[in-house]
Amino acid sequence: MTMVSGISRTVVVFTLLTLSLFGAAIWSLSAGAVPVSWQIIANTLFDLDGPRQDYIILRSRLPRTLLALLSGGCLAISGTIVQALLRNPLASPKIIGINSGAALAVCLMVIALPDLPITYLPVAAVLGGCLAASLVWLGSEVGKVSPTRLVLIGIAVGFLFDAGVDYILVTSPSFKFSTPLVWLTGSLWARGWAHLGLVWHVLLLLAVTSVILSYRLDLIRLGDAHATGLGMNVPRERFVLLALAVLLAAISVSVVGVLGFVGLMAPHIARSLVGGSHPVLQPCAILTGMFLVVLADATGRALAPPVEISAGILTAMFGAPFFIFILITTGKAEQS
Amino acid sequence: MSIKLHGVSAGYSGFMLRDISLTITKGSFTALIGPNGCGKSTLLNTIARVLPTRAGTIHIGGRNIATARTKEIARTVTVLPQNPVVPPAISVEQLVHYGRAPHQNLLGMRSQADHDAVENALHTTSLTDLRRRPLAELSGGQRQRAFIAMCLAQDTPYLLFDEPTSFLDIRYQYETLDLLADLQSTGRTCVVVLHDIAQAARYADNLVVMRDGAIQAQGRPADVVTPEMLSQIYDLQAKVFSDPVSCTPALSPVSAGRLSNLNEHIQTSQSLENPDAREVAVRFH
Repeated sequence: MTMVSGISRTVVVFTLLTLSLFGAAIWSLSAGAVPVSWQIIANTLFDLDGPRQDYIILRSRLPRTLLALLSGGCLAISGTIVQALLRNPLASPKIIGINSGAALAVCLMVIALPDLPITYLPVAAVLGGCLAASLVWLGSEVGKVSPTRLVLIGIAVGFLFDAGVDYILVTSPSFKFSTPLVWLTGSLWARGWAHLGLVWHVLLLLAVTSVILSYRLDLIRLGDAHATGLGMNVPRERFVLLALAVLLAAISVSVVGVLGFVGLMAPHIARSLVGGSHPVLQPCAILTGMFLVVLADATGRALAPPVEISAGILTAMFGAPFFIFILITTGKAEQS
Repeated sequence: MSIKLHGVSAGYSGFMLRDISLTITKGSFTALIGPNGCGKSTLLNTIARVLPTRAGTIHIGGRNIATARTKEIARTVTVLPQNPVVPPAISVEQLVHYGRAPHQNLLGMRSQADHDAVENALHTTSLTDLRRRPLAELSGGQRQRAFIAMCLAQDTPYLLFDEPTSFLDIRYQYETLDLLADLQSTGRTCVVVLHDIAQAARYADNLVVMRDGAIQAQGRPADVVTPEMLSQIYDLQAKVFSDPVSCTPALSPVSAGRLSNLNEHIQTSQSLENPDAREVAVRFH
């Protein structure tokens, strides 16, 4: 098989992805306990004459959809970076302990500081995620990280933190945990402008930086020896890239909960679409991640209204079979 | 303008290069040889700044590699590691373009000079027809050539290659070494780790023999490749003779394994061999 990596194919992929994303976003605005037609959406968004749904669209679904786009894109970036750094196709933000650390921190907060308002959950999650990732980093010898070691230590730290979460959940009264539990499964329920306002500037800054640095991922993917030979300061650049990945994932997880599968899946889907060169792969992974989370969130609202099914559950339910399909159909070129 | 090592100690934990001083003159073809685990790859990787030095200094083309900017060094010296990592879903052409990174900005934007260097490297390694193929689908030999092409695209006066002939069949082994010889004739300095002593003697004008993390001998192949050296360094008994084509030292081991009557064999072979065969040191275990 020759690689049909011409510019034309890339353009087609990006056009189709953008159109799908647009469609999914419109559907996300329309789906839910109160279905809203696209004319009403247009009237509301663009201030046109005719029937409008200001409260549902502007106050509830628009910020929620934007948040889904933002977190989906950021989790995808994080996953792409981690897979390149660890040179491991199975790697995702979860593997460096971010999800488990965030989950444990949230549970601890609910137990230890029950009077603190729920709005502090994201803060606890960011701190927990960063703490877990730092432990993994320290455990794998600062500055001299072998990818395999990092993966193994990440898995161990993840298990440790997960054990903590399980312990707290089993030994505490269940009513306390209805909110953290929904959050743990990865949901956009009740997220609004306030959450978006907290994180959008930081995430955007981190995301833009990551896209600018995406060619460095191509070089570091070649291994330490080649990357050094090509003029990279490998320990320093690896630290910067890893820090970007950790912050992007931890902040996203702090707002939308544990949507772990997106970080694993989006880079793989993107790689099968546009190949493994990160300046193209990274933007494609971003669009894919956005699409997955928006679609999962909208589907979760549309399936059995007024009950909502968490986006985290749906990304895994739809994503996993699709993911396996992709891995089977893309041949040797996809394997490292 | 050369590669100069002064009192260098370096290495992985548990294995050390001890106090190595070495000068590799500009424009030479230097082969690092020695038994497995002797430190030749470690030495190459230390010169390439892939491994840190623990003591001593290394200068390449007048620059101290510990203090100069790594990107600046990357425009002077290219490195081919022993087991290159094969990135997924990357075409040959993309890989060769990575070699241009030291000449580019952070985003990897390509200039006409970059395109020319890549075309040149693809042509030199006969990979032009395979340029759009994914790296992962190539044979081991084609892949090795792609990595060599990447190093060529880097367009540096110094080349450090760690066993560039591994994975290659014999035709491509010699093609690769011929290529390095061509590069040397254009004024580049080649430092190459090789396993095959006869190949090393044939192509290099300077042999560096290592054992136990130290340099044991250095010099012209004809002076260095002797039965005594093979016995001391490799613990191998062998006949050394002049290669009929290149007139450089070649060797044939005297192994007791398959020969029931070794003495007789050596006598007959000595009588049949070409006259400039050297004295053979035979030791029976």
